Amino acid sequence: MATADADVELMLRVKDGDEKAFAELFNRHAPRLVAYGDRFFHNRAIAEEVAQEVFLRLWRARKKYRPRARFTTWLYTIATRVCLNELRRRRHRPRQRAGGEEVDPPDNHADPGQVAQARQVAERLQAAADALPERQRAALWLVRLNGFSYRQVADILGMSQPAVKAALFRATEAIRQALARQDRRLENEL
Amino acid sequence: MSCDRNHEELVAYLDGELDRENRRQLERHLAGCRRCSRILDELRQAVEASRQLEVVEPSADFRREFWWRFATESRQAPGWWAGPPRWRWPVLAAGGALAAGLAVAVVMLVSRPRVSEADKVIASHLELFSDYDVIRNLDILEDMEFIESLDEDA
Repeated sequence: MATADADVELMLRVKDGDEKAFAELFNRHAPRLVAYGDRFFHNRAIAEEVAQEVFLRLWRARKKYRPRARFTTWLYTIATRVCLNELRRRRHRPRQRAGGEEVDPPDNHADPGQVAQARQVAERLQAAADALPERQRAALWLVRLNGFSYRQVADILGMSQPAVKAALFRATEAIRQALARQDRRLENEL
Repeated sequence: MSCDRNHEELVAYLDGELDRENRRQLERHLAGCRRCSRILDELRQAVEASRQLEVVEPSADFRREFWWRFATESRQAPGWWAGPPRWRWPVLAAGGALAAGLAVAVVMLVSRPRVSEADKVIASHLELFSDYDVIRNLDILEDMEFIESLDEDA
């Protein structure tokens, strides 16, 4: 992962119209943006479109850039806005991946029972996350996927740090309860 | 310290967001509270599961598609087209007149007699060709006079 200073330096060059610096920022951050978008849409094609849209907006808004905060704060402020707007537009709350989409093949060496159980955990977790209010959901993935601090999440979402802390607790508690329900169900089946 | 309050602190603790003092207080509480310790373990599982969820990688076409979109957008009409509609038609009319003028100029240029590469060479050595003495003393002309004299002899 690139250092924050290097990103700011690149973005200042982008501000002056440097397309090479823009390409470098894209290569550094776009893959993680796709993963972030996928947390909302569970569809790689939509997540890629959203990530591309974020970078096109970044290019259009380049002249307004001021290096007051970390570059990723600015990037994910745009990204979260685009994701939530797109989510509202599509009213898209799928519980499973879209049909026909390529996903990683299962590990042939893994125990099929464990693979099935891991998949159930992932589905349960995703369903619990999808049911969260938008900001809690965004806070959850900003911290758990991207490793952002509560302070950075507060800046991105325009919330106070205590509000971010409460949002993360509620999101994690919802996942804990969803996983606990699954454990109880498995115990009953045995 | 009440357990209800600790539960909110537990997630911040797992995310490494508690300062040293609050962390020490919480750890002291956890040492004596089995209920909170059990909930901490469950929350830790939830945190780990959410961190370890599959992360999708972009498709092979992702970058190429982006640069295509970027190039397409860069080539599109600049800001004036996005302006108020009342400006569009005068700008279009002026542009149309300019295009028509250019088309006429191009047709005139194309219909002019073509200048060969040989003509260009002569034009660049006009002084040489205007000097008759020089031309007369060229070997090739002497050869021609010799050929003509042969005809006369015959």
